[in-house]
Amino acid sequence: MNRLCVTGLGIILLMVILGLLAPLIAGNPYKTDLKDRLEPPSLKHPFGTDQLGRDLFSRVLWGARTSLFVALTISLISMSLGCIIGAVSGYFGGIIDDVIGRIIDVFLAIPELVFNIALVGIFCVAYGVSTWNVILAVVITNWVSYARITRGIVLSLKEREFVLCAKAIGAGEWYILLRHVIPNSIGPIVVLATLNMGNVIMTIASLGFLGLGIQPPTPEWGQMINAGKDYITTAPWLTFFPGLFIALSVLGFNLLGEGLRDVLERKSFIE
Amino acid sequence: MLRYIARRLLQVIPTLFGVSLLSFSLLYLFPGDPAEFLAEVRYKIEPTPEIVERIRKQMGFDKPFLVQYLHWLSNVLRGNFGTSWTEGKPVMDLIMQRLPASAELFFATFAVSISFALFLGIISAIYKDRAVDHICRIFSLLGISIPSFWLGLILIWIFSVKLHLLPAFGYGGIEHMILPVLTWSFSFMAIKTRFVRSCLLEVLSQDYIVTARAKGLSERLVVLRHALRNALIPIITYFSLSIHHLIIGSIMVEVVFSWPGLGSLLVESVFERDFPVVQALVFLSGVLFVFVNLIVDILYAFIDPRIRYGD
Repeated sequence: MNRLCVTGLGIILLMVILGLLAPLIAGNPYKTDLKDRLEPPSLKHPFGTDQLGRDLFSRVLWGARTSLFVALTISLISMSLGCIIGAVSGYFGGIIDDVIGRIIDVFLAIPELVFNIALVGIFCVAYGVSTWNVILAVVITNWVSYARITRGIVLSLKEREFVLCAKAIGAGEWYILLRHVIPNSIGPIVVLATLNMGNVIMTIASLGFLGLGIQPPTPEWGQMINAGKDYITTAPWLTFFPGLFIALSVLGFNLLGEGLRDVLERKSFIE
Repeated sequence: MLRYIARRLLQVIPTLFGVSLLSFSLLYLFPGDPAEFLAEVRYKIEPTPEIVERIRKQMGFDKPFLVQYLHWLSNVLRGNFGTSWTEGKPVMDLIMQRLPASAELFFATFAVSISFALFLGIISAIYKDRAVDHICRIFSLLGISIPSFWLGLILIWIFSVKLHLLPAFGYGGIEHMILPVLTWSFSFMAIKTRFVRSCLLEVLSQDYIVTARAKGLSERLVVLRHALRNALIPIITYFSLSIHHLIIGSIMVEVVFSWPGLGSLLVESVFERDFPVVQALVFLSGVLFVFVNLIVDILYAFIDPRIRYGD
């Protein structure tokens, strides 16, 4: 087993377990205690307390839940959307492919975060503040990378012998697409999805830091750093711990993604 | 050559058109009545029906989507992005005001990160699979995983709060630039280092390198004179095309260090609901990418004739 994969998977599992067990091992992340404001890390509060006297350890662990859950939702939606659009575009070709190809080009031209910030800003005014704004805004930019990769794979797969054979024995277009083309493009898509999870977690945190992401009192790492940065001179732990967890989770997905890519490349090389 | 340039220019037009359409439709996602919003925020008057109606007429909000879009586009082509909703100044003036600060930071970061990425990339290619290479790999993984805004705050804590060496934020002399450039370069050069390494390794595995070595050239000469030159083309392309990372990084770094550039302008405008400014910035960032792409392609064709006659 690849060392990168194992380390990455280990970090991700740790995050998932901490997130799942948050209700058991961490206290209430919403309980404020104004007598205990901005306490440094101690045995009672391992990561200290924040400006409202909330236990930072609980908030960071509950933050793992928020980030992983929202990132997973975004990834699943944009993956299904992007893969279907890309596969249809590459497989059917012709004018469909031209139009979809152009749309992909346009979305690739605008830097993701710039577009995300603009969209979240508008959604907040339009539909009020909610986590769905973040999910919707990130999905709108995120499907593109899946569509582009799937389209490329499908374009090369559709000329391969086994697809031509299936066609020759009279299999339908959609049957070939679903049974032969999509299962064979899983490898690179899994790599992309893993690396992309890291990107999405980073985007959620960035939006949170800018004050445009998931809103308080829901614990979210980026938003905690945004609140903590005003106390950087007196209470640096408010900035330090949430950021450490962002970095660790993104690192986990990047390690796993790079490891998977190494493994897959070696496999296709042997073939 | 001219035919190639002409063809690439034609290919760019639909993308630019799409970018403009997408940025313009942002305004259409704006909920409620922009005329009412303008009355309250910009003219600070009670939005009575007749005033709202007048603003709507004056701004053209009553016209169909396509008419408004074409009107906007024809203005944009003349460099007019309309008037800011909150400041009442032309959007272009606001952008030009903020551009120098962004550009300063941008070029400094680009220079610093290219030098470091080249240096580290070459070293890890030469010492492939040795300790130095592994350290560089860990370093680049950390670079993409550590949020730049967090790194910025940690650097502020170390160098401004604890050591009192550098200012924490603001715009001015060289000392103000050190922390932002350091923060920004760290994340930007991470991926680039890996790319330099793999490009160089690919070139180093080619036959003419074996020949050069067989001739008895020193390893230093082989790498720097023979391999690096050929690896430079994809490296330069990749650097130019990673302009997206730079723009995205600029937003976070500028906000952390209160740097008065375009990134912080975008965030401020979103908070103030100044949508003409948001629209213009989204549009311009897309256009910038398309043009950088185009220029790189044309330069590439100049250097490498295979591309011109390729398809």
